[in-house]
Order: sequence, then C-alpha cells, then structure tokens
Amino acid sequence: MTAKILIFSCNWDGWSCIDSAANAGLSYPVSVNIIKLTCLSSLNAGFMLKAFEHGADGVMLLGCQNQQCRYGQFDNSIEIECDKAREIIKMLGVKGDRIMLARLAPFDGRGFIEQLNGFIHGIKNPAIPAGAQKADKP
Amino acid sequence: MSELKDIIRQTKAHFCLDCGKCTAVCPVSRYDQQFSPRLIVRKALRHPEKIYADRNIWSCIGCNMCTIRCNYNVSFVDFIRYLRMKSREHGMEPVYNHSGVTESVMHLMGKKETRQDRLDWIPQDINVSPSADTAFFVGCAPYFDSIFKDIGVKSTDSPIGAMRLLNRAGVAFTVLANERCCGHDLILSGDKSGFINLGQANIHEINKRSIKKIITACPECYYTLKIDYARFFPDWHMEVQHLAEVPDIIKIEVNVGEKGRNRPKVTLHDSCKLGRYFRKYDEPRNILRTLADAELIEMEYNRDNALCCGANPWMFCGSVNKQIQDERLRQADATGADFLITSCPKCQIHLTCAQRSNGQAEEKIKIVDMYHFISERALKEND
Ligand code: SF4
Ligand code: SF4
Repeated sequence: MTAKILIFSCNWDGWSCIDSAANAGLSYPVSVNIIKLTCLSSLNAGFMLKAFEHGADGVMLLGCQNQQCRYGQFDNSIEIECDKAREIIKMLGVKGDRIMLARLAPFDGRGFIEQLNGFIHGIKNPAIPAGAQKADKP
Repeated sequence: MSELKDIIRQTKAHFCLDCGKCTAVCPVSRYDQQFSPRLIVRKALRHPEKIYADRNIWSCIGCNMCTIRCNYNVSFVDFIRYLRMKSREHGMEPVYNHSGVTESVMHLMGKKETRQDRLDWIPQDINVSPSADTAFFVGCAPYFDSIFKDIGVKSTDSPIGAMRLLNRAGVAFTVLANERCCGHDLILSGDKSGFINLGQANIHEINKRSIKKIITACPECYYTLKIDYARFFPDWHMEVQHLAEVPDIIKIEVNVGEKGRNRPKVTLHDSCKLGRYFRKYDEPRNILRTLADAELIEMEYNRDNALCCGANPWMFCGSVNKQIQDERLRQADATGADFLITSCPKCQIHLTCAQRSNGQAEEKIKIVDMYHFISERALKEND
C-alpha cells in the first residue's frame, strides 16, 4: 500500500521546499496531494479531519520554522490544532502517527522529500479501512 | 411532488392559517428580519420549486417554540428537516462552523469499519458492568472535550456525573465501546444518509450486546434514540429512558450536610429537546432540588417559554445566534443565582462560548452541567 497523503503547505518557506524539490528533480509518490495556504495558522483540526473523512491515510503540514512566520503568527495555534486532531482520530480508532508537522528552512527540497518519505514509510495501514460507505436503504 | 405533499400532510403544514404566531415567538425571527417560519410554509406550499434554494431554511435552530404556539400543531422542525434534505439533493450545502470538524467526526463514526477507542476518560471509581443488559448511552461528550478545549468546557463531566448517580442508585449498566453519535445533528441538518449510517451502526452494536434498555443523560440522544430511530428504523423497539426519569435516581441517599442550610442558588436552563419536545420540566427540577438541595430561581422565561441556547446543528452560527445566547445569559444573570445549570452538553458549550466572547466570564454566572453539579455536591463522602 502507498499511503495517500494530503499536504497543507504554507505559501512561504513550506512552498519553497516543494518548489526546490521539483527544481532538483526529486520526486514523491503520486498518492501525495498538496494544498497551498497563505499560512498554517489559518488551518484547524476540522480541515485535517476532513482529509481523513475523504480517504487520506496521513496529513502533513508544511510550514516555516519557528519565529520565521511572515505574518508574525507565533502563537502555536497550529500545534494546538494538530494535538486536537490527533486526539480525535485516536478516539476514532485510527492507529499510528497520521499527522506530521514539518517546519523547514527555506528551499530545503531534500529535507522535505526525506521527511515526507519517512512519514509515508511509517504508515502501514489505511486510516479507516475502505468499505461500503453508502448506507443501505432502511 | 407527491413526496412534498406527503410531508405537508405529515407535518400538518396544510393547516397553516398564516396567522403568524410562530413568527411572533420565534427567537431567530426576532433578530433576523428575513426569517419567518410562516413565510417558509407559505412559500413551500405555493412555490415548492423555489424553496430549496432559499437561504432561510438553514436559519431555524430547531427550538420548537413555533410548534408549541401553533394552534394547529404544525410541526415546523420536521418540515424544515425535510426541506433541508431536499435542498441537499438540489445541490445546496450548509456552511459548517468550526471548519466542519463535528460533521467530519460524525461521518467518520458512521463508517461501518470504524472501531473507536473512546472510553479513556471514564474514572476508576465508576462501576461499569459489562454483562448488564442496560446500556448508558454516553453521546459525543468525549469528542467535545477535544474540540472545545479552547473554551474551557469539559463535556465529559456530564456523563461522569450521570454514571456516578446511576452507580449510587444501584442501577447496573454497561457502556458501548464503539457507540456512535446518535445522529441528531445530521438529521436536523438534512443529512439523511449520514444519519442512517450512524443509526445502523449503533443498532448493530446494541443488538450485538443484547441490550434491553438504554439510559441517557443527553436530551438530544434521548429524543433521537426514542423518536427518530423508531421513525427511521422500523425494527427499533428499544426502551429508552432519560436519566432524570429513572425512578431510583430521586431516591439516592445524598450527603449535602444539613438540609436547607448553605443551599446554592441555581437557575436551570431547559434544553429544547427535554423541554418543548417532551414537556419534561419537573423531572430535572426535582432531582436538582431533592438531590442537590439547591434553591432554584427560575428565569423570567422558563419551561415552554425557555429561550434556546441559540445554536444550529453546528452550522451557520452567526450574529443572530450570538444575540439569542446573550439574551439568555442576561436572563440568567438577572436571577442573581450563582450557577446556571445546563442539562445538555451542547447548551453548556454554546452558552459558555457566548459568555467567553463577551469577556470577563469569571465575574458572571457560572455555567455548570446538572449531573456534574449534583454528583459533586451530593455524592461526596464525609471526611
Ligand atoms: S423551531 Fe424555533 S427557530 Fe425554528 S422556526 Fe420554530 S421558533 Fe423559529
Ligand atoms: S455558539 Fe456553539 S456553534 Fe456557535 S461558535 Fe460557539 S460553540 Fe460554535
């Protein structure tokens, strides 16, 4: 199984890493999708859960290193939201590390690919096993 | 078309006289001039094709004030639920609050394959009997604990208090390790397939354990399991009881010191479901007075007239909802009571959210869950 990963990346250092990886000809599996945001601080647990609801096996959040936020959002809100989402998916019975927060230096394409591959290798099973999702008529 | 006719008949909407009493008492209409239950019924009867796209059908908070006032008992909330279902079929979607986290949790719970790990929060002192044929239905409080951490609400206080009361009353019960959300908010928001998934999964869990009776402390679970499951699942004949009506609860021997001394002053916020839907007003008041020896000061609007906590099923929470909540908090403050007692985890969340967003929550009336309040006050052992 190749894990389906959704990446939320900030527009700044996070995105620069993805860009650099592409420029350097590094690749990642096709089961990885990326959504670009202005800043990770605009993201909350609801969006991470939505990814799992739609079949993601893992969610990666890619952003700037601490104190590097272009908007001065140093309040750790994304850490808080990650913890919330981790607690919720644990209660839902999803096993293992499914949410990864990676804060990288600008243009670290190689670092991004290494972290992503490590994350994917750690995911052995689907978050929620696929099966009939539509209800039978009552 | 004939389906709409059926619903109009079932909900008695064709009896609507256009009298406007519903709109006069509706808390949403008071703050949102565009919203009128009377007009929605009228539009649906005259131009059914247009009603599904009408933004107003999403504003109703389901408080049932209108039906209580209606001389013809038009069951407006059922009508609205149906319009929302149809509206979804026509491609409309509500806007969820909290980035849809509650909706996703409900959908994830609704999957057949989901095996939850949701009982960590139950304290050691609570005695759960795995072989009992009565189940205590917890509700979504464990999830709310994580989701609403930031506003400082601990929703599991409610089921913990309730289970302690059951223990003390000698009622043996089990809990379901893989209990799903009852589905109240999905069906109210017109998400029928989501609701059916949750219902089927719950019924499967319950049948697997040969449960004969369900007790719950959450008014919405109570309504959904008792009324809506019977409507949507023809084989569902379960006995469902609300904690406040379990006969042994009121007989618990309590320890509140000398009765009548140091009585805490409390006011009770009636939940819409236990209140206007079931008209059970005395049951919570009795256990509050008898077990907690509390001095109950009623708000100006109570029982049938109690104002709702103002929130929709986790969608479209906005200025109208906030104004309703603020009004309710002003009514509670006006009683001079020290505690505003809620009997539904969601009322506690929404009212606390409003109180906090007004600042200085510490100076205001303290919002506390009823079962937590009673068990903390009455079940403590003597030192
Ligand atoms: S249920 Fe409540 S909010 Fe909805 S229309 Fe009736 S009175 Fe208004
Ligand atoms: S009142 Fe309720 S629905 Fe509205 S923001 Fe607060 S917690 Fe959310």
